[in-house]
Amino acid sequence: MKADRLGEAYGEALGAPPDGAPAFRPALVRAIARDAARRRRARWALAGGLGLATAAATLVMLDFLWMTRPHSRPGVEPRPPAPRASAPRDHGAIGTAVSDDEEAALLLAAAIVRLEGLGDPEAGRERLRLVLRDHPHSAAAREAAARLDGDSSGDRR
Amino acid sequence: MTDEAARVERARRGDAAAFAELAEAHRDRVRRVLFRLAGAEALDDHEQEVFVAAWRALPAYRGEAAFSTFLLRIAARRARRWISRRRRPAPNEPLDGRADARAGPDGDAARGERAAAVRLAVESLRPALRAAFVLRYVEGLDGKTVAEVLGRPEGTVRSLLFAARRELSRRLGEEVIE
Repeated sequence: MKADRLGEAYGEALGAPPDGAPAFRPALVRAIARDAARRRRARWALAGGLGLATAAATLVMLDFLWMTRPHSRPGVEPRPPAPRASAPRDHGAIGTAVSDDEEAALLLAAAIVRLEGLGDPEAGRERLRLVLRDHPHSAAAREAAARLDGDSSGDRR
Repeated sequence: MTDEAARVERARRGDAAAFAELAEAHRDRVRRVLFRLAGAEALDDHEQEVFVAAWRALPAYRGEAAFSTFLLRIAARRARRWISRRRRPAPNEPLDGRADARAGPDGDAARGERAAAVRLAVESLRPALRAAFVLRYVEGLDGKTVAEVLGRPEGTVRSLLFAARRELSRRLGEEVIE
């Protein structure tokens, strides 16, 4: 027996499918339209969230880079190359040793202060003065002080 | 661009009315294939689920295959999942009252028995064999389209059809050839 003949016999034996409700009932169409709207909203929300997050991350990164850039601001001396981390350094007459980690922490603190100071420069300077008070003899502290002076002179200009 | 292609494009952009038109145009075929693959039980639910699944999958549809093939692929997958979960009738098990209703009280008894035997034989096939057999020999799709609908290579479909014919030959007691 030919297979297509058998298929035909099977189709005949089975008959036509029973009648049913329309596949696309109005309620379903509405549900689908709602689904489409929800998907569109979700896409827009996702795109907006990603855009905002990217913009915020870019701003923070740019500000951090600005604060940690090589000494191009007026009144700031070029920084000598950093010595090896294992060798404590002599910083001025009193000679307080400041490790690289501590220095990095100070620079980071300065960056944070700077960030906070974006909204309120005076509060930022106050925070930086506190940092300087706690670390008066470190190279990083001196550098931060010089930057503070530079900022102040810039403000005055 | 054909009317259907334009409707598909509108539906892809979220136009539910365009999709409703497409669903109406393809409804009979989808329903018939679902009926032949999975039976009458829960047919309305299957049909609706196929169109909802199609709507959701529409953004991924790039028009590589015909829209009808896209719908049939979803229908075949759903039907196979459904019949895989149900117990298939044993080859010698009566069809619990489903035996040829069309024969009628005055109908040809031998014809009715034959029709019942054919139904039982086809419905006892493994889901993959049954799907290939129904799409190729009952729906009359060509091998390439059957392969697209089942999401399998053409060579695999040929093997499935060969296995289906062999199985049907065994069950019906006569050779079923291509």
